[in-house]
Amino acid sequence: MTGSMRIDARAHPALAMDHAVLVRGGQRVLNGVSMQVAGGELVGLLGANGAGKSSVLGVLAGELRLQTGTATLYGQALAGVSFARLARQRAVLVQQPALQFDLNVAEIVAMGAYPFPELSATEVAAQVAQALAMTGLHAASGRSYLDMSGGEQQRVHYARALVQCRAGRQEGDTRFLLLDEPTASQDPAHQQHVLAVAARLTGEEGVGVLAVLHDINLAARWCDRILLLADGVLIAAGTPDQVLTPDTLQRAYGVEMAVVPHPIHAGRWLVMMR
Amino acid sequence: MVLPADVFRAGGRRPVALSVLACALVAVAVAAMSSGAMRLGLIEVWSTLLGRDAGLDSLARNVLLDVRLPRVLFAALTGAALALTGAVMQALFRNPLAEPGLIGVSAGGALGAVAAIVLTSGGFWLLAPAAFAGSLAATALAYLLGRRVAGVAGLLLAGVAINTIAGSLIGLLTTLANDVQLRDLTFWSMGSLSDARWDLLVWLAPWTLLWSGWLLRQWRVLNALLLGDREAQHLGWRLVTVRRQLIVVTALIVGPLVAATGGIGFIGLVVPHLLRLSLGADHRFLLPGSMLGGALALTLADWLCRVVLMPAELPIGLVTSLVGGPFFVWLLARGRRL
Repeated sequence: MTGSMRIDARAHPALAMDHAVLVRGGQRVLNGVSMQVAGGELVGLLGANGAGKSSVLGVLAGELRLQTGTATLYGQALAGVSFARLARQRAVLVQQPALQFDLNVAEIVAMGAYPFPELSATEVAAQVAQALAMTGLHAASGRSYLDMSGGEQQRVHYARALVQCRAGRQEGDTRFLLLDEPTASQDPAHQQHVLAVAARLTGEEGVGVLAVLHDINLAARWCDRILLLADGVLIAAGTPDQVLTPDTLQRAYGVEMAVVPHPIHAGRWLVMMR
Repeated sequence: MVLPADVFRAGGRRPVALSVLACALVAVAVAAMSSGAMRLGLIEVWSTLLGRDAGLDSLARNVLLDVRLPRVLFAALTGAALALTGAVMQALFRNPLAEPGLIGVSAGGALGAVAAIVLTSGGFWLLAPAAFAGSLAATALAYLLGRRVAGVAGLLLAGVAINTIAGSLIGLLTTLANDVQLRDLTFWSMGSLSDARWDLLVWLAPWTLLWSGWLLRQWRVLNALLLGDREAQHLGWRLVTVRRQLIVVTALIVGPLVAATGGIGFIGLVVPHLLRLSLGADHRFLLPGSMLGGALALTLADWLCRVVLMPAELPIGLVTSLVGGPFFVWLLARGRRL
């Protein structure tokens, strides 16, 4: 790849996969999935356990290589993009790791700036402070990670991912944030907060966010678009109203659900029938 | 009891802790150079080292500059390198028990040395080259074997296997050895810094410091590795490359040192833990801290070796294990985080 082959980000605004087939352990975990995340949108990825959600995330993160089909960033194959360059374009949050050695919160959050060694210590400190404030951890910066609850630890890594996708904004390209169950360890208030922050990033900073979610109502409330996976196949994609119907949910989860008007705001509410 | 851990935990005090270590290192080095069969005054030693004429006679000057100074420098260099690579291995394996020997570099070196002692008649000049070759061969084998299993576990298991195999081969060679050879290899395995000479230091010091400098600059990826392999990859590092580089550089640093000093245990294991208690796990400070702490620990240990049973000299590996072992037990018994 030569320097002159500059990809026009406006022509290919998305992190995308096309007819993606991924085989893991002899199983086709993705079977012809085509999807994309563009800058400025919050996309929810839903589906039953084992439907292939984390695989989609892994492929878009550049970790998993497709058997057939393509995975691209701005139209350029992910396989040809170095991890160092990818790290400047997208941040990934997976489940919080168990640390062997203790670090404090600020040290972990500051790792989000590692892909940007050109930033000064002051700039990094400012980014860390902003991310801590966004995740409600401003008072925790000196705390020891190992003393924190699972939910707090998860937010520490969320803050790290926020630094990573905000630190290089001046470069101009769209940044992406890939979140694997970012609300898994959070209480109801923090579940809303995590997605509110993601929505703010998409609205105010043009970040493209893909979030694997289990809570259908949470997804309906915050996502611009929803992708519904079942057995490695995308069975529905569109706005929450289009995707979240009793029929598609029956196909995705095998349970009967009813859609009722939300008691307070204009949206809809999904209720399990049994 | 207030440990440095509690005092220096806050970020701003870390440079202070590093300065304290550096000052302690200089003080211990000067004290070590003043004591021995010929006693020299601390002031005279200090002035002479600074290039002033302190009124030492030529014999005293020779003892100081050609015997004790290279010895202390060699101890500091070896200690710094072992502790630094220990900290690096603990991060790479995310395991508090990791040390440079885990990747086979020490056991391979020992096997090379023992083979040179037992299989060649009087080929003592062969000892260091054979030990170095053994170090690199064992590390390469551990790396190539371990690479076949995903993640760092394969490397860990391969290292354990290589260590076991090297250990049993050493045992086999030992049974073939005659009494003189047996004594030679026993002493080699207990480690010694008595090889310290300027002609060794002039190439070993730049070599070790060059690669150590490279390792010091890897603090970001080592921090990222603490989070996990996937996380380090998400932050922009290709793991296969990172692992290979860290292992190769560790072998390049430790191999010649094992060849020149024999087995010096515990420095690579204990010193990083001790420094982590006072500086935290951030490698930006832990790596230079470990170098200073390792240098301090081994200089101190070598000083003990030389003066405790004067004029006889204790093997240094014995002292580091004898002091380091109980110390480590005490650390564990405190029941706090490592």
